[in-house]
Amino acid sequence: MGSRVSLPPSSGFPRLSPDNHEVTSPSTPRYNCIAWAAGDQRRWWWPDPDEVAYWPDSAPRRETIEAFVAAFGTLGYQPCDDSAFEREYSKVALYALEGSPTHAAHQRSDDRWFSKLGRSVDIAHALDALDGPLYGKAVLFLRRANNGGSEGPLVGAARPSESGADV
Amino acid sequence: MSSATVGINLGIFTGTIEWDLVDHDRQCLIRVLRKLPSHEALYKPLLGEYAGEVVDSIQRLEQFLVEESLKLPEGSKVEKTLNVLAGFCRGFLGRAKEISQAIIHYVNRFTRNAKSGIEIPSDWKEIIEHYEQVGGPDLMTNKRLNIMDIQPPGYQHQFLQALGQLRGSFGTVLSIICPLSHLEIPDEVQRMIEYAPQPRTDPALVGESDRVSGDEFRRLATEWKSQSEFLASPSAIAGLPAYQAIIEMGQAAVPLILGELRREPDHWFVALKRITGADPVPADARGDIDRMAEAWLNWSRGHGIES
Repeated sequence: MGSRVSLPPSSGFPRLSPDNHEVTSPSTPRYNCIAWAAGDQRRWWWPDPDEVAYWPDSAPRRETIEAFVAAFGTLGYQPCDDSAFEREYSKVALYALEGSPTHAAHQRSDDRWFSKLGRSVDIAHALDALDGPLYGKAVLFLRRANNGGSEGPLVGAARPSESGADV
Repeated sequence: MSSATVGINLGIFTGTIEWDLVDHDRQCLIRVLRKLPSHEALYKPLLGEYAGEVVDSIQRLEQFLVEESLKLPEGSKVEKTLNVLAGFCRGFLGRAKEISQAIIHYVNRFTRNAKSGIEIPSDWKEIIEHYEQVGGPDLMTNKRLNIMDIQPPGYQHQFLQALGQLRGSFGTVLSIICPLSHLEIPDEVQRMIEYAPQPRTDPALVGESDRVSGDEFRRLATEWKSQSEFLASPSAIAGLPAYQAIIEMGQAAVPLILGELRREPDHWFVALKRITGADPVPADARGDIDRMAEAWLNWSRGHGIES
Protein backbone atom coordinates (compact mmCIF):
# COMPACT_ATOMS: atom_id res chain seq x y z
CA MET A 1 0.00 0.00 0.00
CA GLY A 2 3.03 2.28 0.04
CA SER A 3 3.39 5.10 2.56
CA ARG A 4 0.08 5.38 4.39
CA VAL A 5 -0.52 8.57 6.34
CA SER A 6 -2.35 8.09 9.59
CA LEU A 7 -3.49 10.33 12.46
CA PRO A 8 -1.55 10.45 15.72
CA PRO A 9 -3.23 8.83 18.74
CA SER A 10 -6.16 10.90 20.03
CA SER A 11 -8.08 10.56 23.26
CA GLY A 12 -11.26 11.26 21.29
CA PHE A 13 -10.75 8.17 19.13
CA PRO A 14 -9.25 5.45 21.35
CA ARG A 15 -9.83 2.74 18.73
CA LEU A 16 -8.13 4.59 15.90
CA SER A 17 -4.81 3.00 14.92
CA PRO A 18 -2.55 3.04 11.85
CA ASP A 19 -4.02 -0.37 10.97
CA ASN A 20 -7.62 0.76 10.64
CA HIS A 21 -7.49 4.11 8.88
CA GLU A 22 -5.65 6.24 6.36
CA VAL A 23 -5.62 10.00 5.79
CA THR A 24 -6.85 10.79 2.29
CA SER A 25 -6.86 14.61 2.12
CA PRO A 26 -5.41 17.72 3.79
CA SER A 27 -7.29 19.58 6.53
CA THR A 28 -9.87 22.19 5.51
CA PRO A 29 -12.56 24.11 7.41
CA ARG A 30 -14.66 24.47 4.24
CA TYR A 31 -16.79 21.34 4.66
CA ASN A 32 -17.56 18.85 7.38
CA CYS A 33 -18.49 15.20 7.69
CA ILE A 34 -22.15 15.74 6.88
CA ALA A 35 -21.31 17.72 3.76
CA TRP A 36 -18.74 15.09 2.76
CA ALA A 37 -21.27 12.29 3.19
CA ALA A 38 -23.76 14.35 1.18
CA GLY A 39 -21.24 14.85 -1.60
CA ASP A 40 -20.70 18.58 -1.00
CA GLN A 41 -17.15 19.88 -0.59
CA ARG A 42 -18.09 23.55 -0.60
CA ARG A 43 -20.25 23.98 2.47
CA TRP A 44 -20.45 23.12 6.14
CA TRP A 45 -23.71 21.25 6.85
CA TRP A 46 -25.38 21.27 10.24
CA PRO A 47 -28.85 22.17 11.65
CA ASP A 48 -27.36 24.66 14.12
CA PRO A 49 -29.64 27.12 15.92
CA ASP A 50 -27.39 30.06 15.02
CA GLU A 51 -28.09 29.30 11.36
CA VAL A 52 -24.51 29.72 10.25
CA ALA A 53 -24.28 26.31 8.55
CA TYR A 54 -26.11 25.08 5.47
CA TRP A 55 -29.08 22.81 6.02
CA PRO A 56 -31.67 21.71 3.43
CA ASP A 57 -34.76 23.90 3.66
CA SER A 58 -37.13 20.96 3.81
CA ALA A 59 -35.38 19.31 6.79
CA PRO A 60 -35.97 20.54 10.35
CA ARG A 61 -33.16 22.70 11.69
CA ARG A 62 -32.81 20.68 14.87
CA GLU A 63 -29.86 18.71 16.16
CA THR A 64 -31.73 15.41 16.21
CA ILE A 65 -31.35 12.08 14.44
CA GLU A 66 -34.72 12.67 12.75
CA ALA A 67 -33.51 15.95 11.26
CA PHE A 68 -30.42 14.25 9.82
CA VAL A 69 -32.53 11.46 8.35
CA ALA A 70 -34.74 14.12 6.75
CA ALA A 71 -31.70 15.99 5.37
CA PHE A 72 -30.25 12.85 3.78
CA GLY A 73 -33.76 12.02 2.63
CA THR A 74 -33.59 15.09 0.38
CA LEU A 75 -30.70 13.31 -1.39
CA GLY A 76 -32.61 10.06 -1.79
CA TYR A 77 -31.27 8.21 1.25
CA GLN A 78 -33.60 6.02 3.30
CA PRO A 79 -32.92 4.17 6.57
CA CYS A 80 -31.68 0.61 6.11
CA ASP A 81 -30.96 -2.35 8.34
CA ASP A 82 -27.21 -2.44 8.68
CA SER A 83 -23.76 -1.40 7.51
CA ALA A 84 -23.20 -4.42 5.26
CA PHE A 85 -21.70 -3.46 1.91
CA GLU A 86 -24.19 -3.73 -0.97
CA ARG A 87 -22.70 -3.13 -4.38
CA GLU A 88 -25.81 -1.42 -5.78
CA TYR A 89 -26.17 1.04 -2.86
CA SER A 90 -24.27 3.92 -1.28
CA LYS A 91 -24.57 4.00 2.48
CA VAL A 92 -24.27 6.65 5.18
CA ALA A 93 -23.64 5.89 8.86
CA LEU A 94 -24.90 8.40 11.42
CA TYR A 95 -22.94 8.57 14.66
CA ALA A 96 -24.45 9.85 17.88
CA LEU A 97 -23.38 10.41 21.44
CA GLU A 98 -26.09 10.21 24.11
CA GLY A 99 -28.73 10.59 21.41
CA SER A 100 -27.23 13.68 19.78
CA PRO A 101 -25.80 13.43 16.26
CA THR A 102 -22.05 13.95 16.11
CA HIS A 103 -20.77 12.64 12.81
CA ALA A 104 -21.52 10.88 9.53
CA ALA A 105 -19.41 8.54 7.42
CA HIS A 106 -20.19 7.22 3.96
CA GLN A 107 -19.55 4.00 2.11
CA ARG A 108 -19.76 4.19 -1.64
CA SER A 109 -17.32 2.32 -3.78
CA ASP A 110 -16.25 -0.57 -1.60
CA ASP A 111 -16.68 -1.83 1.93
CA ARG A 112 -14.57 0.91 3.46
CA TRP A 113 -16.01 3.99 5.15
CA PHE A 114 -14.99 7.56 4.46
CA SER A 115 -15.12 10.44 6.92
CA LYS A 116 -14.27 14.09 7.17
CA LEU A 117 -13.19 14.77 10.75
CA GLY A 118 -14.47 18.22 11.74
CA ARG A 119 -12.24 20.83 10.13
CA SER A 120 -9.41 18.28 10.01
CA VAL A 121 -8.62 15.67 7.38
CA ASP A 122 -10.61 13.13 5.38
CA ILE A 123 -9.87 9.54 6.27
CA ALA A 124 -10.79 6.09 5.02
CA HIS A 125 -11.48 3.82 7.96
CA ALA A 126 -13.12 0.80 9.48
CA LEU A 127 -16.63 1.65 10.68
CA ASP A 128 -15.85 1.24 14.38
CA ALA A 129 -12.49 3.01 14.24
CA LEU A 130 -14.13 6.30 15.27
CA ASP A 131 -16.10 4.88 18.18
CA GLY A 132 -15.31 6.70 21.41
CA PRO A 133 -16.07 9.65 23.66
CA LEU A 134 -16.04 12.21 20.85
CA TYR A 135 -18.44 10.73 18.29
CA GLY A 136 -20.10 7.94 20.27
CA LYS A 137 -20.81 5.25 17.69
CA ALA A 138 -22.78 4.60 14.50
CA VAL A 139 -26.44 4.37 15.49
CA LEU A 140 -28.28 4.49 12.18
CA PHE A 141 -27.60 3.55 8.55
CA LEU A 142 -29.09 5.05 5.41
CA ARG A 143 -28.78 3.94 1.81
CA ARG A 144 -29.66 4.98 -1.71
CA ALA A 145 -29.34 3.20 -5.02
CA ASN A 146 -26.13 4.05 -6.87
CA ASN A 147 -27.94 4.56 -10.14
CA GLY A 148 -31.38 5.36 -8.81
CA GLY A 149 -33.34 8.30 -10.15
CA SER A 150 -33.68 9.81 -6.71
CA GLU A 151 -30.03 10.66 -6.26
CA GLY A 152 -29.44 14.27 -5.33
CA PRO A 153 -26.84 16.39 -7.06
CA LEU A 154 -23.25 16.28 -5.87
CA VAL A 155 -21.87 19.75 -5.33
CA GLY A 156 -18.17 20.28 -5.96
CA ALA A 157 -17.58 16.69 -4.95
CA ALA A 158 -14.94 14.16 -5.80
CA ARG A 159 -15.96 10.66 -4.89
CA PRO A 160 -13.55 8.95 -2.53
CA SER A 161 -12.39 6.55 -5.18
CA GLU A 162 -11.38 9.55 -7.32
CA SER A 163 -9.53 11.37 -4.55
CA GLY A 164 -6.50 9.17 -4.39
CA ALA A 165 -7.66 7.01 -1.51
CA ASP A 166 -5.98 3.64 -1.58
CA VAL A 167 -7.41 1.55 1.17
CA MET B 1 -33.22 88.53 14.53
CA SER B 2 -30.17 87.58 16.56
CA SER B 3 -26.77 87.04 15.00
CA ALA B 4 -23.64 85.33 16.24
CA THR B 5 -20.38 83.89 15.01
CA VAL B 6 -18.72 81.16 17.02
CA GLY B 7 -15.44 79.42 16.47
CA ILE B 8 -15.57 75.69 17.07
CA ASN B 9 -13.12 72.84 17.15
CA LEU B 10 -14.59 69.36 16.85
CA GLY B 11 -11.30 67.62 16.27
CA ILE B 12 -12.17 66.65 12.72
CA PHE B 13 -13.57 70.09 11.90
CA THR B 14 -12.25 73.49 12.87
CA GLY B 15 -13.97 76.64 11.74
CA THR B 16 -16.62 79.20 12.38
CA ILE B 17 -20.38 79.12 12.12
CA GLU B 18 -22.45 82.17 11.40
CA TRP B 19 -25.88 81.80 12.83
CA ASP B 20 -28.54 84.36 12.12
CA LEU B 21 -31.71 83.33 13.81
CA VAL B 22 -35.10 84.73 12.87
CA ASP B 23 -37.62 85.02 15.63
CA HIS B 24 -39.76 81.94 14.88
CA ASP B 25 -36.59 79.82 14.73
CA ARG B 26 -35.48 81.17 18.09
CA GLN B 27 -38.87 80.60 19.71
CA CYS B 28 -38.96 77.05 18.40
CA LEU B 29 -35.49 76.35 19.76
CA ILE B 30 -36.56 77.65 23.16
CA ARG B 31 -39.56 75.29 23.13
CA VAL B 32 -37.30 72.36 22.31
CA LEU B 33 -34.82 73.22 25.07
CA ARG B 34 -37.65 73.51 27.58
CA LYS B 35 -38.98 70.13 26.54
CA LEU B 36 -35.71 68.27 26.87
CA PRO B 37 -35.81 67.82 30.69
CA SER B 38 -38.87 65.59 30.27
CA HIS B 39 -36.82 63.15 28.17
CA GLU B 40 -34.61 61.83 30.90
CA ALA B 41 -33.31 59.00 28.74
CA LEU B 42 -31.10 61.59 27.09
CA TYR B 43 -29.19 62.65 30.15
CA LYS B 44 -29.96 60.53 33.21
CA PRO B 45 -27.29 58.27 34.70
CA LEU B 46 -27.78 54.82 33.21
CA LEU B 47 -28.49 52.99 36.45
CA GLY B 48 -32.21 52.75 37.07
CA GLU B 49 -33.25 53.20 33.45
CA TYR B 50 -35.59 50.64 31.93
CA ALA B 51 -35.25 49.57 28.32
CA GLY B 52 -38.88 50.04 27.28
CA GLU B 53 -39.04 53.45 28.96
CA VAL B 54 -35.87 54.61 27.26
CA VAL B 55 -37.27 53.54 23.90
CA ASP B 56 -40.63 55.19 24.64
CA SER B 57 -38.94 58.40 25.63
CA ILE B 58 -36.82 58.55 22.48
CA GLN B 59 -39.84 57.72 20.30
CA ARG B 60 -41.81 60.59 21.86
CA LEU B 61 -38.85 62.92 21.46
CA GLU B 62 -38.51 62.02 17.80
CA GLN B 63 -42.21 62.74 17.22
CA PHE B 64 -41.96 66.03 19.09
CA LEU B 65 -38.93 67.15 17.06
CA VAL B 66 -40.64 66.30 13.79
CA GLU B 67 -43.82 68.16 14.85
CA GLU B 68 -41.80 71.22 15.83
CA SER B 69 -39.81 71.15 12.61
CA LEU B 70 -43.06 71.13 10.63
CA LYS B 71 -44.06 74.42 12.25
CA LEU B 72 -41.06 76.14 10.68
CA PRO B 73 -40.51 77.24 7.09
CA GLU B 74 -38.75 74.59 5.08
CA GLY B 75 -35.02 75.16 5.01
CA SER B 76 -34.77 77.34 8.12
CA LYS B 77 -31.69 76.68 10.25
CA VAL B 78 -33.61 75.33 13.22
CA GLU B 79 -35.90 73.25 11.01
CA LYS B 80 -32.81 71.57 9.56
CA THR B 81 -31.30 71.15 13.01
CA LEU B 82 -34.43 69.53 14.41
CA ASN B 83 -34.53 67.10 11.52
CA VAL B 84 -30.92 66.15 12.21
CA LEU B 85 -31.77 65.58 15.89
CA ALA B 86 -34.83 63.54 14.93
CA GLY B 87 -32.56 61.49 12.67
CA PHE B 88 -30.28 60.75 15.64
CA CYS B 89 -33.35 59.45 17.49
CA ARG B 90 -34.37 57.23 14.59
CA GLY B 91 -30.82 55.90 14.37
CA PHE B 92 -30.94 54.90 18.02
CA LEU B 93 -34.40 53.34 17.68
CA GLY B 94 -33.32 51.33 14.67
CA ARG B 95 -30.23 50.02 16.46
CA ALA B 96 -32.24 49.22 19.60
CA LYS B 97 -34.71 47.26 17.47
CA GLU B 98 -31.90 45.28 15.81
CA ILE B 99 -30.41 44.40 19.19
CA SER B 100 -33.82 43.47 20.57
CA GLN B 101 -34.62 41.24 17.58
CA ALA B 102 -31.29 39.47 17.89
CA ILE B 103 -31.89 38.69 21.58
CA ILE B 104 -35.49 37.58 20.87
CA HIS B 105 -34.22 35.31 18.09
CA TYR B 106 -31.76 33.54 20.35
CA VAL B 107 -34.12 33.32 23.33
CA ASN B 108 -36.86 31.81 21.15
CA ARG B 109 -34.49 29.45 19.37
CA PHE B 110 -32.83 28.14 22.53
CA THR B 111 -36.16 27.94 24.38
CA ARG B 112 -37.58 25.73 21.61
CA ASN B 113 -34.46 23.56 21.68
CA ALA B 114 -34.63 23.19 25.45
CA LYS B 115 -38.30 22.15 25.23
CA SER B 116 -37.33 19.56 22.62
CA GLY B 117 -34.71 18.14 24.93
CA ILE B 118 -31.81 19.54 22.91
CA GLU B 119 -28.84 20.71 24.93
CA ILE B 120 -28.32 24.49 24.89
CA PRO B 121 -25.31 26.56 25.99
CA SER B 122 -25.23 26.96 29.78
CA ASP B 123 -24.99 30.75 29.59
CA TRP B 124 -28.19 30.82 27.56
CA LYS B 125 -30.01 28.72 30.15
CA GLU B 126 -29.33 31.51 32.64
CA ILE B 127 -30.23 34.20 30.13
CA ILE B 128 -33.58 32.57 29.34
CA GLU B 129 -34.39 32.29 33.06
CA HIS B 130 -33.38 35.92 33.50
CA TYR B 131 -35.75 37.12 30.79
CA GLU B 132 -38.57 34.97 32.17
CA GLN B 133 -38.19 36.85 35.45
CA VAL B 134 -38.02 40.35 34.01
CA GLY B 135 -40.83 40.24 31.45
CA GLY B 136 -39.23 38.95 28.27
CA PRO B 137 -36.45 39.89 25.89
CA ASP B 138 -38.23 42.60 23.87
CA LEU B 139 -36.16 45.67 24.70
CA MET B 140 -38.58 47.90 22.78
CA THR B 141 -41.47 47.28 25.14
CA ASN B 142 -40.09 45.80 28.37
CA LYS B 143 -40.44 48.40 31.14
CA ARG B 144 -39.23 46.04 33.86
CA LEU B 145 -35.83 45.37 32.32
CA ASN B 146 -33.12 47.64 33.65
CA ILE B 147 -30.79 48.43 30.78
CA MET B 148 -27.86 47.41 32.97
CA ASP B 149 -29.45 43.94 33.12
CA ILE B 150 -29.66 43.38 29.37
CA GLN B 151 -28.15 39.99 28.59
CA PRO B 152 -25.90 38.72 27.10
CA PRO B 153 -23.28 41.34 27.97
CA GLY B 154 -22.34 41.97 24.34
CA TYR B 155 -25.87 43.15 23.55
CA GLN B 156 -26.02 45.29 26.70
CA HIS B 157 -22.82 46.94 25.56
CA GLN B 158 -24.28 47.61 22.12
CA PHE B 159 -27.44 49.13 23.61
CA LEU B 160 -25.39 51.40 25.86
CA GLN B 161 -23.17 52.38 22.96
CA ALA B 162 -26.21 53.30 20.87
CA LEU B 163 -27.67 55.36 23.71
CA GLY B 164 -24.30 56.97 24.37
CA GLN B 165 -23.95 57.88 20.73
CA LEU B 166 -27.40 59.49 20.80
CA ARG B 167 -26.59 61.48 23.92
CA GLY B 168 -23.22 62.58 22.61
CA SER B 169 -24.70 63.69 19.29
CA PHE B 170 -27.48 65.70 20.98
CA GLY B 171 -25.06 67.21 23.47
CA THR B 172 -22.59 68.24 20.80
CA VAL B 173 -25.17 69.86 18.53
CA LEU B 174 -27.02 71.69 21.31
CA SER B 175 -23.87 72.87 23.06
CA ILE B 176 -22.87 74.56 19.80
CA ILE B 177 -26.17 76.12 18.78
CA CYS B 178 -27.20 77.39 22.23
CA PRO B 179 -24.36 79.96 22.48
CA LEU B 180 -24.90 80.87 18.83
CA SER B 181 -28.52 81.61 19.67
CA HIS B 182 -27.58 83.55 22.81
CA LEU B 183 -29.34 80.90 24.89
CA GLU B 184 -27.95 79.45 28.05
CA ILE B 185 -26.87 75.83 27.71
CA PRO B 186 -29.29 73.85 29.91
CA ASP B 187 -27.79 71.63 32.57
CA GLU B 188 -29.38 68.66 30.83
CA VAL B 189 -27.36 69.30 27.70
CA GLN B 190 -24.13 69.33 29.69
CA ARG B 191 -25.19 66.03 31.23
CA MET B 192 -25.95 64.52 27.83
CA ILE B 193 -22.26 64.90 27.09
CA GLU B 194 -21.21 63.91 30.59
CA TYR B 195 -23.27 60.70 30.51
CA ALA B 196 -22.53 59.81 26.91
CA PRO B 197 -20.38 56.66 27.02
CA GLN B 198 -17.37 57.00 24.80
CA PRO B 199 -16.55 53.90 22.77
CA ARG B 200 -14.07 51.68 24.59
CA THR B 201 -12.67 54.49 26.74
CA ASP B 202 -15.03 54.70 29.71
CA PRO B 203 -14.01 51.94 32.14
CA ALA B 204 -17.29 52.18 34.07
CA LEU B 205 -19.30 51.32 30.99
CA VAL B 206 -16.97 49.20 28.95
CA GLY B 207 -15.68 46.90 31.67
CA GLU B 208 -12.44 45.04 32.04
CA SER B 209 -13.40 42.30 29.61
CA ASP B 210 -13.59 44.72 26.69
CA ARG B 211 -10.00 45.81 27.04
CA VAL B 212 -8.81 42.73 25.29
CA SER B 213 -5.23 42.14 24.35
CA GLY B 214 -4.27 40.65 21.02
CA ASP B 215 -2.06 38.13 22.80
CA GLU B 216 -4.96 36.87 24.94
CA PHE B 217 -7.20 36.63 21.89
CA ARG B 218 -4.60 34.64 19.96
CA ARG B 219 -4.03 32.32 22.92
CA LEU B 220 -7.76 31.59 23.13
CA ALA B 221 -8.06 31.23 19.34
CA THR B 222 -5.23 28.69 19.27
CA GLU B 223 -6.77 26.76 22.17
CA TRP B 224 -10.17 26.78 20.50
CA LYS B 225 -8.83 25.58 17.14
CA SER B 226 -7.00 22.74 18.81
CA GLN B 227 -9.99 21.61 20.86
CA SER B 228 -12.51 21.90 18.02
CA GLU B 229 -10.41 20.19 15.36
CA PHE B 230 -12.62 17.11 15.04
CA LEU B 231 -16.03 18.68 15.79
CA ALA B 232 -18.69 19.05 13.11
CA SER B 233 -21.41 20.88 15.04
CA PRO B 234 -21.14 24.69 15.08
CA SER B 235 -23.00 24.59 18.43
CA ALA B 236 -20.37 22.28 19.91
CA ILE B 237 -17.58 24.31 18.35
CA ALA B 238 -19.01 27.55 19.74
CA GLY B 239 -19.70 25.97 23.11
CA LEU B 240 -16.02 25.37 23.89
CA PRO B 241 -14.76 27.50 26.81
CA ALA B 242 -12.11 29.32 24.75
CA TYR B 243 -14.71 30.34 22.15
CA GLN B 244 -17.11 31.47 24.86
CA ALA B 245 -14.31 33.52 26.42
CA ILE B 246 -13.80 35.25 23.09
CA ILE B 247 -17.55 35.98 22.80
CA GLU B 248 -17.46 37.45 26.32
CA MET B 249 -14.76 39.88 25.22
CA GLY B 250 -17.59 41.67 23.40
CA GLN B 251 -17.14 44.33 20.76
CA ALA B 252 -13.44 44.68 21.42
CA ALA B 253 -12.91 41.19 20.01
CA VAL B 254 -14.66 41.98 16.72
CA PRO B 255 -11.70 43.62 14.92
CA LEU B 256 -9.46 40.77 16.08
CA ILE B 257 -11.92 38.14 14.85
CA LEU B 258 -12.27 39.93 11.52
CA GLY B 259 -8.50 40.08 11.19
CA GLU B 260 -8.34 36.35 11.83
CA LEU B 261 -11.14 35.78 9.33
CA ARG B 262 -9.24 37.78 6.70
CA ARG B 263 -6.01 35.88 7.40
CA GLU B 264 -7.48 32.38 7.58
CA PRO B 265 -11.24 31.84 7.14
CA ASP B 266 -12.63 29.70 9.93
CA HIS B 267 -15.75 29.26 12.02
CA TRP B 268 -15.94 32.68 13.65
CA PHE B 269 -19.49 33.33 12.49
CA VAL B 270 -21.34 32.32 15.65
CA ALA B 271 -19.12 34.67 17.66
CA LEU B 272 -19.65 37.53 15.22
CA LYS B 273 -23.43 37.03 15.19
CA ARG B 274 -23.71 36.81 18.96
CA ILE B 275 -21.44 39.78 19.67
CA THR B 276 -22.73 42.17 17.04
CA GLY B 277 -26.34 41.02 16.68
CA ALA B 278 -25.87 41.44 12.93
CA ASP B 279 -26.25 38.80 10.23
CA PRO B 280 -24.90 40.06 6.91
CA VAL B 281 -24.65 36.57 5.37
CA PRO B 282 -27.25 35.90 2.65
CA ALA B 283 -29.29 32.75 3.28
CA ASP B 284 -27.85 31.08 0.19
CA ALA B 285 -24.30 31.58 1.49
CA ARG B 286 -24.81 29.74 4.79
CA GLY B 287 -22.15 27.13 5.31
CA ASP B 288 -19.94 28.52 2.51
CA ILE B 289 -17.04 29.74 4.60
CA ASP B 290 -15.47 31.91 1.90
CA ARG B 291 -18.71 33.70 1.03
CA MET B 292 -19.55 34.11 4.71
CA ALA B 293 -16.13 35.59 5.43
CA GLU B 294 -16.53 37.94 2.49
CA ALA B 295 -19.98 39.06 3.73
CA TRP B 296 -18.63 39.81 7.21
CA LEU B 297 -15.59 41.66 5.91
CA ASN B 298 -17.85 43.76 3.68
CA TRP B 299 -20.09 44.40 6.68
CA SER B 300 -17.11 45.53 8.75
CA ARG B 301 -16.03 47.97 6.06
CA GLY B 302 -19.57 49.36 5.94
CA HIS B 303 -19.46 49.88 9.71
CA GLY B 304 -16.00 51.43 9.76
CA ILE B 305 -14.49 48.55 11.73
CA GLU B 306 -10.82 48.06 10.99
CA SER B 307 -9.40 44.57 11.27
